[in-house]
Amino acid sequence: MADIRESVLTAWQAALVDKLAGIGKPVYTVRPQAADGGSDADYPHIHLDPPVATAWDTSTEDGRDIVQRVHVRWRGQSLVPGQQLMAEVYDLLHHGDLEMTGWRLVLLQLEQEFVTDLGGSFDGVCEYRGLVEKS
Amino acid sequence: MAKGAGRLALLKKAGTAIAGVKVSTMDCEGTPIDVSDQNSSGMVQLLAGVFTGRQMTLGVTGVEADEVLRNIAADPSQQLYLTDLTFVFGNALAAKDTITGDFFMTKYGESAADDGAVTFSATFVSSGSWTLT
Repeated sequence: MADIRESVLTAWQAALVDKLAGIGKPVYTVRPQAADGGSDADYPHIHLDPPVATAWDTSTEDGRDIVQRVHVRWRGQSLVPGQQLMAEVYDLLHHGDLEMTGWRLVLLQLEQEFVTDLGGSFDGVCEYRGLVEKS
Repeated sequence: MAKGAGRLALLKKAGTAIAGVKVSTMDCEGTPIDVSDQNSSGMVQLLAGVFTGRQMTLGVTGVEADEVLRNIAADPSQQLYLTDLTFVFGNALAAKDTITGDFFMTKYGESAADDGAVTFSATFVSSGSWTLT
């Protein structure tokens, strides 16, 4: 019998990667790393943190309440190009659909977003919340 | 005595569990007859062995999922009198774990917040005696 926790998180992230690939920038769940420890990732790119899921079960159905942070990473001195990319993520995800094997999306929406200056690059953090139920 | 998980307590209609339920409740109540008088020394005296107004109330709250109760409650042609409700306790007992009877749905409500799923609640009160089997 499949591990429900693994299957929902796998389905969730696979669906997000597919969806965000439509933006046309690299989408990473694990960012490539150079031998010297630096980043080998192409910029700008989108990086998905591991999702955090809590039980959202009822007497008759399995469900998960998932918090997902999506990072938009870009280099340069301007906030504008990255924030435009964050807006593209929002247009795709906020109240959007996700096709997941074995699970059905009930709700997907932005909870918060902010930008952190990393000194030469920026990290645009977009936190989404999703409700899913087993289909 | 085995303890029971709450999720195993189910309210069923026509043998199928109402979907999306997160909390189910069961209350039994009745009112004894007060026969206190001047000779009761200031204490309440109740008529022995006699109850009035005995009634069972069943309730469910949860995430709306199957429209079964909504379709009954929101249809003005429905009488809200249900003869096929079953309440099963969560203890998985071999006997005396199922209640059946005739119930009126006295309240049904939904809440649809913009940052969550549609939730519902419903209340049922018994009409006449129920059966515990």
